[in-house]
Amino acid sequence: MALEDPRATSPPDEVPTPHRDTDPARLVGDERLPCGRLVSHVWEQARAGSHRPDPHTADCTYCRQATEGLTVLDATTRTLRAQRPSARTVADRVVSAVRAEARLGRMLPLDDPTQELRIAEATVAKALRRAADRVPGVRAASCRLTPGEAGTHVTITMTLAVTLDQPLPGRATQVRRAVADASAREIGLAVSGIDLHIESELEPLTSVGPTSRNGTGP
Amino acid sequence: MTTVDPAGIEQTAARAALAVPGVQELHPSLRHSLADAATCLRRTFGSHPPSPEAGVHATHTPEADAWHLEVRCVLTDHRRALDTARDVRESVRAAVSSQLNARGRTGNVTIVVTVTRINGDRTPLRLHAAPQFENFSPE
Repeated sequence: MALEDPRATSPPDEVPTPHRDTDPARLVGDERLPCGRLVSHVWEQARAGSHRPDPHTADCTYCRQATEGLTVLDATTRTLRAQRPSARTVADRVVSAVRAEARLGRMLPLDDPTQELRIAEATVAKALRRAADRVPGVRAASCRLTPGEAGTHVTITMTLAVTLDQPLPGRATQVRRAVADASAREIGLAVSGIDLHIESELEPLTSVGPTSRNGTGP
Repeated sequence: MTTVDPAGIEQTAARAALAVPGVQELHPSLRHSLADAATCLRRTFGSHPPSPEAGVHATHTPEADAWHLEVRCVLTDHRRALDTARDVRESVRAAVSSQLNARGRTGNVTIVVTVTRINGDRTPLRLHAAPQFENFSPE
């Protein structure tokens, strides 16, 4: 940070009384630099900025390094003072971290004999729901995966909403095929069974013109 | 024979995992996420993103001189997850074994690769393949 940058340090005429204990110069005390200057003096010079230019400070490596370090410390202190998190904030962050971990779900084995390769249930479920949704007239409502007691095989259980304009067995076959294909080609999962539950009906909507799905049409 | 620092092993493993095609990033473990949540410094200054090593956890069993590593990966969807995970395991095993051998260690190394997420750009869902679904809204 440039020494001559007046924004880089606390304004010289600012009354620092409420936070004097965090003034960087006070933190380092009256240590003397190799050039002979006191750190506190160098800091005062820096805070004075261009109002009182000091030829020595401008040319002295030690003074410049001290000023740059204290400037960073000053900025850091100010940021922390402004954004000091409350206990509630920290607690919220901890809860968010735990929830994010829980959202991964259980870890399922990939189809590898060593059983050292795993994948999060939520990730698999998302891919398989997407595969089922590719079948026209089908919407996957949920997808649960249950690992077998031994080995790497997994049972898939899906609930679906479908339109009733086609026979259900044929549509279920299409969904099974799509899900099995995604399990094998996209994930690498050994599937022992696919249970489908059709729990609701999708209403086939009739076209009413060029209205788009996002509502931007007339 | 010299001692091996788990942090060094994690760093080596992270580099090896990230070098595998299909690995987008490493997913920090819960303990790293909690540590991150408990300190505001990283977020406040935004200058230090989580290091890749946060996605690797290495433990050493001195009695057997055995290492156990867990690598948590976020993948892209351009390859099958199983294939990428296998490559990660082999890449990490080779890198870690090499590092251990260089220090005179010959202990067993087990590696568990966990895929936590697959990020992709596959064609988004289109429900209106049939004419009657043209205006179907999934929301």
